[in-house]
Amino acid sequence: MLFEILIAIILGCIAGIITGLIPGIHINLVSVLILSFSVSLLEITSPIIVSIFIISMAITHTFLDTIPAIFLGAPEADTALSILPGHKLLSEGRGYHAVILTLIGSLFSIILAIIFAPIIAIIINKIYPYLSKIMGHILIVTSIFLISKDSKSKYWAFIIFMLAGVLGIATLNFPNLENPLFPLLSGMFGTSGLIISLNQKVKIPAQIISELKIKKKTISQAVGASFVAGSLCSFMPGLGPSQAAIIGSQLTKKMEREGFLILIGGLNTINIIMSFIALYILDKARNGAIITVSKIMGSFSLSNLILFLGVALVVAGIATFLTINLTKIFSKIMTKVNYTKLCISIIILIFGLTIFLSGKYGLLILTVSTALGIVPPLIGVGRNHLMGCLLLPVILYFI
Amino acid sequence: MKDNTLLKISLCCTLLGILVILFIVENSEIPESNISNLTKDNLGTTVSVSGKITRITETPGLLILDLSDSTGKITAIIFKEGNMTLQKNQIVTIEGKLIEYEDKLEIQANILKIRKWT
Repeated sequence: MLFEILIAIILGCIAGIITGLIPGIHINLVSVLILSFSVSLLEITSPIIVSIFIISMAITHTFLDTIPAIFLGAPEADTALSILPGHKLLSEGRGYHAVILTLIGSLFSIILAIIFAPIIAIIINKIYPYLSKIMGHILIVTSIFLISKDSKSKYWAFIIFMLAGVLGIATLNFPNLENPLFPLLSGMFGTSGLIISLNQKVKIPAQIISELKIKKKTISQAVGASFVAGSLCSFMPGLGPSQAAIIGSQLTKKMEREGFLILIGGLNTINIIMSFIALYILDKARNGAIITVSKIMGSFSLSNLILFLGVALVVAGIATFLTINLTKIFSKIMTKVNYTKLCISIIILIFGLTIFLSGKYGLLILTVSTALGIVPPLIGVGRNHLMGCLLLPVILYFI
Repeated sequence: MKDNTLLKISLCCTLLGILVILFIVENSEIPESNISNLTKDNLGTTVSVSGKITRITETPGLLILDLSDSTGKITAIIFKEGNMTLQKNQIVTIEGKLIEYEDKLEIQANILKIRKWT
């Protein structure tokens, strides 16, 4: 059994490297593909081993997905807010530091989440029945809070939120469109950023690989905010790491860009850990990877939870090593590659994947969501308002 | 291209694109299937079938209908909304997502049209 677990962890980490580094490939998509192959997989191994593979892949993915977000300007919905501070550091030749900051967030948050898992479980078990009754209203208040906190223009923030919401509703109701979230989110957060980079003829300066110097206070503030906001948002449908980041940044008086990157990194990973707790306590799967685990496992016991948290801790150690070394490689090769050709290749890859996964109507969704995704950065409002594409349908479901 | 031009083009594409998508969603019709033609290959897709209600089971939030046409039988589940006046032997058309429950195919109905009162 121990040997099988080790093999599942190693294979999961390898799969996580691939999904984490390829822009536009979200962990949810890979999990759905694994679910479709699960019958064949379960013939050769047990549900626990398949679940450990998925968990290892998901954790590794959340550590590594900031590399394409920062170096290629091609984030997913979960890492969208890392683009601005991350790209600023990249343009100063500190792309390596930007990724290491998100790594600090991921590593410390995972440790904190595992230590406090029993307390979180008790609190959520007590308050969730009350929260679930007013979930729609909580999400409305949260959406208003996020829009009102936009420093550039609240009106544009509202318009972007509503346009994304209408597009989300239409896409999710599109008849017989497979994997509707792939073109929707890839367009809003992937191809749109790449097109802006191409239009602005971004040039990446030589990157410095040196030891990161950061105050302990910045780390503790950012990790603390990440833990609180991440724990809250992980139990709310439609609220992802980007929304949690806005809430988390309000918890500390003034957060520097270094602290903000730690916060983003932490939230991205904490979401996975809290999803295990939500599955065990509430029997609700909050993201694609956990939905697949819950379907493969059938029932989810306390011993499963403890095993999976232990696996998460081991994988966090491996993923830290992988992230440091892969970022060094990225820092060295990024200045040598033709960035324009790289961006065009990634756009072609996302379009190809859309045709493969969602067909011709997926291309229509990808085109429209790309057009909408271009608008917020050019106006100067937050990209997080694009998450109205998931929030508005969820709000309408609850009220 | 200037950022301002790119912004204007993006906004136009967004508004026009959303209208086109909404038009497709509103006007797309799902071709009607015989019940026997529905297989596990269709799981997760939106299907449309017409048939006679052979049994109605009511729960606090759901109506569970047994439907039959000349080719077979299937169960459809409907979330209750307002007063629903469904009766046995009515001919109805149901449109919804094909799902699997306890190893049997079911339709999670979104739209129900009453074709014939009996």
